[in-house]
Amino acid sequence: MAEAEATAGRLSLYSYWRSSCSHRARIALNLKGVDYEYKVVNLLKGEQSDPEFVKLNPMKFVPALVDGDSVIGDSYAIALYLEDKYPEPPLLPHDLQNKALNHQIASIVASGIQPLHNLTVLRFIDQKVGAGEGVLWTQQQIERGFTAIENLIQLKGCAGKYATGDEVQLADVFLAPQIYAAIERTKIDMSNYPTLARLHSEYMAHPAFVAALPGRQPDAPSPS
Amino acid sequence: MAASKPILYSAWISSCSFRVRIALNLKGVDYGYRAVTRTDLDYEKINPIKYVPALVDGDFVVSDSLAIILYLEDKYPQHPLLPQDLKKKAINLQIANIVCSSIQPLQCYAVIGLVDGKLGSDESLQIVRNYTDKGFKAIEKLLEGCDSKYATGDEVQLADVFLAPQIHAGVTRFQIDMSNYPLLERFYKAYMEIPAFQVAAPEKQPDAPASPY
Repeated sequence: MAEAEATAGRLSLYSYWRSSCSHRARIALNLKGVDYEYKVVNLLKGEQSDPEFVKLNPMKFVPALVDGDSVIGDSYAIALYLEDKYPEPPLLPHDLQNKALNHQIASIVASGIQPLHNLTVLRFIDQKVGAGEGVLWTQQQIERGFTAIENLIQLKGCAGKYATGDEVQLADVFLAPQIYAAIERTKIDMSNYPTLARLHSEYMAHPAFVAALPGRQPDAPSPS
Repeated sequence: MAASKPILYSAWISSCSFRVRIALNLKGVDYGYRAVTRTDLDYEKINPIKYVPALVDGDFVVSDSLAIILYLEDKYPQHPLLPQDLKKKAINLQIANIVCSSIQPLQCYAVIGLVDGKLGSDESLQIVRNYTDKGFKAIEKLLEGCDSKYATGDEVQLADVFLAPQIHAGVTRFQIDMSNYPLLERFYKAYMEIPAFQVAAPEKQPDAPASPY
């Protein structure tokens, strides 16, 4: 599955079309205007357990970014790596408080919502509680997290065109895939989260975000 | 306005709070400690998200341990927790995120599930051990061949700040056999000799009960 060394100087991203963590990395790469090679890891076929991939990321998660001899197997670490290596346009503001707010929103998604409904956890819930229970579980996790983020954004009064102002920032990179998946896959009722619903419309109109959508990826199934 | 010391809203047993306490101590930042319990309704006014820890710095409130620590990293540059080298910085962030996204939230789910009666005690422990083992094994692999004092060098860095509380919880509460993770076991022994870590330990906090475990 893993091919020979990437073309010199070109980054590779190991990704699955539907993985919201991979989706984050794709957005970040697009925002920074970084060309990359897309390497498919089919999670449903278990390709994350292929020995070559496990060598790259022992957690067996996508995404993984390969840049020369650097391998980074975590979307948060990837985003901050890209932020350092390709400073324009910046994803983090200089203002320490706004910067912290971006990290807080990103962390609610990355630690508080997504890990509680990823594939491995859903399989556990389906096994333990009952087949199909994973859907209800996912809804609950998302609703809890979205309530927290909606409240936080409203409390801070920070939203502009995007989550923390009029420029796309780190919070948006993490929010967009989570909101997209919530709407498309979990059919969350977004009327309880008016800011998040509005942000979704903004993301769906931004070229860097659109190009990163699951359905646009090389491994997305052809529309039926 | 006179600068006042930051206030940390924390719970003694919270490993997320433990991380921030370590970071504050390493940077030599004096702070006020406010204990929060799960049923604390007043806390919601400080932090509507209701999670601990939260840091109040003047009129600014920030929650989530990674966000707080990165804020401290900017505001108090002494004892930097992130290296300049991008590759080393990335591995620190990756390890921190394995802990804070792939181990701790599942541990939290298992513990709360037990407390709320949704999970049996064996089940709860099994979940904790399963996710701890997966994360710890992966970190051992990532750091294979490491011969430095701590995870990514001879100075304590972000990865260490996240690892110490996770290992401590594993050892004190969930009977994790650290001999399965020789690097982490070695690091943990080194961490617990550092005053900044010792003083931050759950059992040393003002709200720790007399018989903690």
